[in-house]
Amino acid sequence: MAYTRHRLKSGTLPLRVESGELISPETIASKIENMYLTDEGTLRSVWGPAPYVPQYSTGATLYSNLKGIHHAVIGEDGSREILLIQDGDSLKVFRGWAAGPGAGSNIWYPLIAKVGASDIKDDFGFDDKPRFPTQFETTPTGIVIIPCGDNSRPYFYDGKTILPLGYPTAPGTCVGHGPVSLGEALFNKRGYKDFNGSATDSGSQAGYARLGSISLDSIDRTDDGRVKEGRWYAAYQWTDIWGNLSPLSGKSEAVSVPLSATCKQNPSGAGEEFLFEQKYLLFWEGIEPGPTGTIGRVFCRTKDVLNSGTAELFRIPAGLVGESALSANESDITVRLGFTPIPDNVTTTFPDNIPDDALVRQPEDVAPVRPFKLYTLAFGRGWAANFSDDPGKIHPSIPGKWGTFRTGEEIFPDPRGSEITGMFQVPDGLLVFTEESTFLVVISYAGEGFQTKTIHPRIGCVAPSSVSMMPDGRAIWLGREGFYSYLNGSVELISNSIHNEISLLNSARLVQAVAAFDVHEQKYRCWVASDGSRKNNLCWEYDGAGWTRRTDVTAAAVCVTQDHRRYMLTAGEAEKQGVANPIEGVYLLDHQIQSFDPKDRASIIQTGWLRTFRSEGRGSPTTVYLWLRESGSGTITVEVERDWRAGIVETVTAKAYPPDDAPPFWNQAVYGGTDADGDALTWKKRRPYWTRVDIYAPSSETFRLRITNTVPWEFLGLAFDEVPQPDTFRSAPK
Amino acid sequence: MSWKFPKNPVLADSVAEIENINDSLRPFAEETYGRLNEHNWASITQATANGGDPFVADDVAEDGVFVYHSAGVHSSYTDFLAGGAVNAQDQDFASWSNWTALDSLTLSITCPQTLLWVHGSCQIDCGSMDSSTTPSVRLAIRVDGAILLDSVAGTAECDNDGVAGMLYPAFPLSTSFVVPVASGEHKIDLVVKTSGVSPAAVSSTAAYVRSRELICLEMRR
Repeated sequence: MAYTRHRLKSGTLPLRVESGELISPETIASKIENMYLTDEGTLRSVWGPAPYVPQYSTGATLYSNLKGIHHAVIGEDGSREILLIQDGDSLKVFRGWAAGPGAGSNIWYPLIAKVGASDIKDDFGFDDKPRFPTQFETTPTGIVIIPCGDNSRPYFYDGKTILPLGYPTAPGTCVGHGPVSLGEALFNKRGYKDFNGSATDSGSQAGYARLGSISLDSIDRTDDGRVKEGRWYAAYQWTDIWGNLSPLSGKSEAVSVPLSATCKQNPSGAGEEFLFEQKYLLFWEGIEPGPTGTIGRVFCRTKDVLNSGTAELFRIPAGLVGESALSANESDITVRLGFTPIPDNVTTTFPDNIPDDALVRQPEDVAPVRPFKLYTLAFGRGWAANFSDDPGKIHPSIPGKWGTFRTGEEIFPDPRGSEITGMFQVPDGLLVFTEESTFLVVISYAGEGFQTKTIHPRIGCVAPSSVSMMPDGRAIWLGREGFYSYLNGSVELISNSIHNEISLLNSARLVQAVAAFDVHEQKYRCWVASDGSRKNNLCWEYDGAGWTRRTDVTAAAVCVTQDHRRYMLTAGEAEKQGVANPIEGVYLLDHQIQSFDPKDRASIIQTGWLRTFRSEGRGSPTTVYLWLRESGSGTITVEVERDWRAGIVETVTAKAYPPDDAPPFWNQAVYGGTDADGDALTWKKRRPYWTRVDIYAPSSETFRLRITNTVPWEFLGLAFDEVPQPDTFRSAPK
Repeated sequence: MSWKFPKNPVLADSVAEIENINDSLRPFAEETYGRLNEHNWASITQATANGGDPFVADDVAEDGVFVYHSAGVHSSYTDFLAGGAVNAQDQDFASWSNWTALDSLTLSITCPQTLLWVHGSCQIDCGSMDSSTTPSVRLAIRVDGAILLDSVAGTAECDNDGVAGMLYPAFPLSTSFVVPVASGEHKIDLVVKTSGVSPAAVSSTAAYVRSRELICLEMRR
């Protein structure tokens, strides 16, 4: 061994992030793979994953081709926990109470399926082409779901019921009848008048009718006036169990009522009557029931368009239906029937005795819901984007009505109409992406509506599910050139240091990248397809300062549970020891259970090329000091490479525990036994320790260390000794 | 809430570490004293199939979170117009009545602070096609003696309101209401009120409430 006086000792290299740059500070690794940043600041080899649902029966196949996963807790006090997956052409919900090998096992209940039992039948057009993963967005009342597929449409699920979101079509037009249209026995007899013949008092029991505009054009003292010629139109819209409204039906044909006969102040003969008895009511039919989920109809009518000065439609106030007076002198009696004028989805008729002056509120002018690919919440509204008929359009919903979009509120952020590829709420507004541009939607300066501003005209987002947010408020996403962040109006490329690795991503599959922020490790994690893979086989992690990677699962989708567990769940594949092929499933990361032994997986820390800045003179690294934490009774492998070549020139091992203070090991320690000093064995909290390995790479220009293991180990830092070779002919490379 | 997993594995030859053991036990201890939910209990189908006891009566997320109460009276149909008899179960009302509880339909329940979803329905039979003599009928839900005004269904003027079954001698009435209640004992019943055809005329025709049912769901979840 060389005399230590001639050695140079490096500082301690903590190595927490990696860089793909050829020359980088020695404190930056060139590769950190499958290492978890612990709460105590060390790197520990990744453990797990754990299948979220155990394989209860041997050979049972629970999944086929996962494309989406989402967790939500909705209801009062988080009373309903929902876990959804898209598995091939099915959308399924987790039912923990149906777990087990028994005959009743149906833990993944199909809500939507192409074939087989399910709540809804649909064909998403599912395939394996690169496309957006399943999109989910949790609203206060349920979850908006846009399945992954060629022709999928949005759905809404509240934990109990799943239905298409909103209404794609308007109801049909209704037909109106005036006083002479139908037999008088069908509705209010008293207000009903035969205008073509002599006035007929058609009954004494009904209340008085209320429609008609009075003309007080009396010509003598016995003439009380007339009811003017009038004209009305009606339309209606459906409303579903979540309050969504359909577009308004077309306006009906006009119901026209001619000028009434002269009224008498004191009727005495047949056909003579009081003026208020001249009024009438209308009758509407052909009011279509809506599709499944419809629970009522919002019925709308104009005022008398010939006399009121407006041709607008107004909602029939729900509380007034059935209101009438027993006599002209008696107070009204209101029968409240419900939340809409027609609080059912069965009837097709509506007897209309609503006076014009009760019509105050205009109906919502609602656009039909065309299929769209993206949805997110911002400003208390749901924002739909990338519509099948207009990929460059975004459209906010009415607040609280997540599938109701007002006509005229559409926004086209990109004047070129480019396809929207992502949306994400940030503190200062709603980020909207195309593949090559970024916009911010903010509340209009005028205080009403919204407006957009361009954040960057060249940088965009390629994968809608890659967007997530760091605790400091930075939004991070995958763009064409790498990962970008946005904070306070500025966009920054944050993946420069791993640009050579980014170039290995399968650009044709970038669209399927998925990401989430892990609150335990405090890292943004994004799974991408790399090295020509069709699947997202590599996860890049970002802690706000640098990057690391992991390969424990292949993730087609990822979510973080929205309850106190904050579990990170992936839908994809993982490898099991002793099983040849990866197993499809829902996996919980960073947890491990006894029944699923993950396949041996290397956890690697590879330094950058060391002594690069003095490589003009050779040196001989002699000793590597590893600062580890005791983890097991085995060893840790250190491989040495030199002079910019990737070939391993030496492999040495170090103990994974301090030999001079060995802890008790599971399966080895004897209960009630003693250690080498004769002290009773106790549970230990694992301690850090230094260990030393001697390496042989004489007269190197540069060298690189790769510390690797397939069993758990934990890393704090390393240092090395080097004997410089100055002032010799050999020391300077030729 | 829901399913928990041990964090770190305790593997052979690893250090017998106190944190690993704690990490494997703590999640379950937390959950046991925390917020178990519907996913933590086996349905009756699963439990019995695997040799276990059916801890809960049914699927928790489907029905078990609702506590169900109901009462009903069935009266066989007889055609009054054709001279059919009044059944013993029928409850008759004079043409002008006060709000009167329907017989054999009162529910007394004890529940925590929760939402009650009350459904009431009944068959009305006036036994006459003559709207000049038959009374109008209103139905409402009464909770702890207070009539829920917004639950009133029916009409005080039957020939002016199609909902009340205008001009038909027999018609159904139903109502539904969701009402929050404090913890304790509560009495829920259905009440009916009839109105004659005009203040001056007293109908000689009674209205009969025949089959009737009251359902109350405690929505505890």
